[in-house]
Amino acid sequence: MNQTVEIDDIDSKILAALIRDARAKLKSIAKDCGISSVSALNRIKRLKSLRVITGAILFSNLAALELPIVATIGVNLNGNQEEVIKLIEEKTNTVEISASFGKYDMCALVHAESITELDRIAYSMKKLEGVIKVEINIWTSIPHMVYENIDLQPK
Amino acid sequence: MKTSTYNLNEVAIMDKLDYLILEELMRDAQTPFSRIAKKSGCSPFTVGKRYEKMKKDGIIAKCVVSIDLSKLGYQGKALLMITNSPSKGKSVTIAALKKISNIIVVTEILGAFDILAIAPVTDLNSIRTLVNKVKKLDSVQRVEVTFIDDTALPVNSNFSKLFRKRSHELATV
Repeated sequence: MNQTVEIDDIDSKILAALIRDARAKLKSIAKDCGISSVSALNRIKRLKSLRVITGAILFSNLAALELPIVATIGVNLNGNQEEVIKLIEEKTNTVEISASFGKYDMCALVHAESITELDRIAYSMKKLEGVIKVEINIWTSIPHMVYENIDLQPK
Repeated sequence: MKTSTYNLNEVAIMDKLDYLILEELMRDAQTPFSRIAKKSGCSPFTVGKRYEKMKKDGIIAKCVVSIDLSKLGYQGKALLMITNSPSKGKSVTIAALKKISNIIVVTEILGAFDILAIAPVTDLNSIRTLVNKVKKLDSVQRVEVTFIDDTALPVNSNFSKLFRKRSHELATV
């Protein structure tokens, strides 16, 4: 289990500003939080050293990078998890894949060039031993990314 | 069939320098323009100009700091798969979902369900609260849930790796 880190209201405000725009100017973050730039920088450094902040992600237009299809794949299976993971990782551009509980036993988030490509993957997955059901849900709208909704101090 | 997921407009024409800049920013979206300039052999001013242009053209959608939510007490993410009530528009549900605390992504999906919402969760109680809020929405007919133990916000670092590789390939064509 990962150890949790104590963060105060100011840390939380800084994180919220960086969720809105990871390239926000230090000066404007500091101003929003009512602290000096030096102190904002020190807090960011602390959050980085504690691995609360692990980097920054750029979202680009997926069509520009020629991987326009996003899909979630849900799998119900009876054993043989490793082989299913191997197959998905080999055949798709996998962003997330993990064991799951609830509706599915395994869940993956993948990017693909075309729907045909996904169809082919589903077909080869179904042929694997232990696979009971494969469900593919293709993302059809521009996803609404509302990361600012996250409660940074849940406890 | 090709559909663009993040932007339905036509993609602006991009050159090698654009892809190089994207590659560097995919590695770390906070990379200073001066460092990108050095690597690509142009001035920081040019990098800044290209960055702004790509933002304007919708090629760059968002820069989000990555946070390991497990450090803040989260244990995983709930994927809520929603069947919309046939008599109501999906946009009504989507607008309502976006207002629920901790729901970080909402998208329409094609397949067994209509809408997918992703929300990090801390414990059993937080799951119960979340699912109840969604079930209460008038336009929601049915909700099914599956949980994964990933706690990266906004997404796993594989996302950057994948698109960095892709940008690199497109920059060197």
